[in-house]
Amino acid sequence: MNVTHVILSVLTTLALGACAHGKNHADHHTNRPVEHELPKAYEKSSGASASVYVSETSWVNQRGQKMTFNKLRGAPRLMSMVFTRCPSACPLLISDMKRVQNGLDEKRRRQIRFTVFSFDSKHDTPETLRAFAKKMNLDDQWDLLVSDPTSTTEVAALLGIQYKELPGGDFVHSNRLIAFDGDGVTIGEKDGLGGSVDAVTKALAH
Amino acid sequence: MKRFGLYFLGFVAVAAQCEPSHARAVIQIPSGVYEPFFREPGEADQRIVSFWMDKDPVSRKDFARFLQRNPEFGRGKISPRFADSAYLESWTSENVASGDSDSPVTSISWFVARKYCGEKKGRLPTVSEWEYAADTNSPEAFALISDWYARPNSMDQPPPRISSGKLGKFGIRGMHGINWEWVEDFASVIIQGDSRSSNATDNQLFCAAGALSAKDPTQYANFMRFAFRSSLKANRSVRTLGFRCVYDVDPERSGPKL
Repeated sequence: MNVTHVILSVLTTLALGACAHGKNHADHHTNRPVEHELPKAYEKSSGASASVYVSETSWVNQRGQKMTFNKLRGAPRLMSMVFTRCPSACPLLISDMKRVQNGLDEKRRRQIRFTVFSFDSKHDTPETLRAFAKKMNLDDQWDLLVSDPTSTTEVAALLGIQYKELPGGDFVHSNRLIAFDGDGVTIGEKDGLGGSVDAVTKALAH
Repeated sequence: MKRFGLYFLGFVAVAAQCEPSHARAVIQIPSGVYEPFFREPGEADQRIVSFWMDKDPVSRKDFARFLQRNPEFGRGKISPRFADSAYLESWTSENVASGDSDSPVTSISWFVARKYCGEKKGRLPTVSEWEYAADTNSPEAFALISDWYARPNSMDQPPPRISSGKLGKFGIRGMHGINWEWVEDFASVIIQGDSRSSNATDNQLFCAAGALSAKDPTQYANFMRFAFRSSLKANRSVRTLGFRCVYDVDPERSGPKL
């Protein structure tokens, strides 16, 4: 029995499967943003049609208020994750969220909340979040939240956001927006920076 | 008899060391250095701080007990956000594992594995801790792996008993075999739609060409493990994926925080 041969063929199958899997998700070779219509099978396997409000993790916002993740239930929300020391991608991600906000009519704009979780448990505090909100010119519809590393990992997993802390304290992370209705059912997603935000805006518009 | 003797020894050792709520063998992994298999640019070798690790993967029996205490994680009750439809698929009823209860629990999601370890005041190991404890870069580990690959294996075979697992460098059992294990930061390996350009990483990991051009053929199993992890989602349940917990060192008792 040629061990290397067996390993190779298993590996190849696995790697090709992984390639196909990656393609479904985002065009990561060109890094082009991809907006999703949620395919039924994906919806089922990811639990996207169930409520995201299944996490008891505790968070504090830029106003110094404490809340559990589950208490975010109620208003429709657009969610993402950033860290405030992020030099390049995070401001762009926030700018994509603002484009969604600006695309909503007056009434919807008052109903929908914009919720951003920090990856950076070590450095982000209500103060840094408040400063970030000011710098980005975010209004009262925005909640910026930080927690401990364990809770952060749980919520990132719920949102399907991947991240990794680098030795210098920066984070590599997926640039992902997820829209939820008031019950926490996923109604739209966007992977990547820039490009059209129409699908997500439309999902939140009614 | 031999097996009983082993369990008994394990029980005595554990009882003497750290008085856990029930007999469970944990082993201290010494501090050391792990050379990451994949590195971000500028990422150096990682210093591993000593920790304690379950000697064995969590068994079906252990997990059935957990479900009795936490029925909300039962197959019929759990949110699909936490576990997909393959969760505990072979279990005959809510709390009863099919087959050998001394086999590792599998078809388990990351969320639930984490809750289990949290209840034990432990956590899932990080990728680095797992790879370090399994001594995956060593020729000895490769020998264990090739021994397994050389034999016919099938997903349809009954799962192996925990006691049949091979011991690794630190005396941890069953890290190299048909079952793989969840790690806390499985999602950190591959970043899609990254905030920086990670195309090189994608190519290295995802596409077979990257693996085939590896200089060291003993690394194939490592490629497979990393590729597999990066294809997972936190709610996914896989028939060959189980877990074990680790515990930080309690400085006051020089034992695990149990």
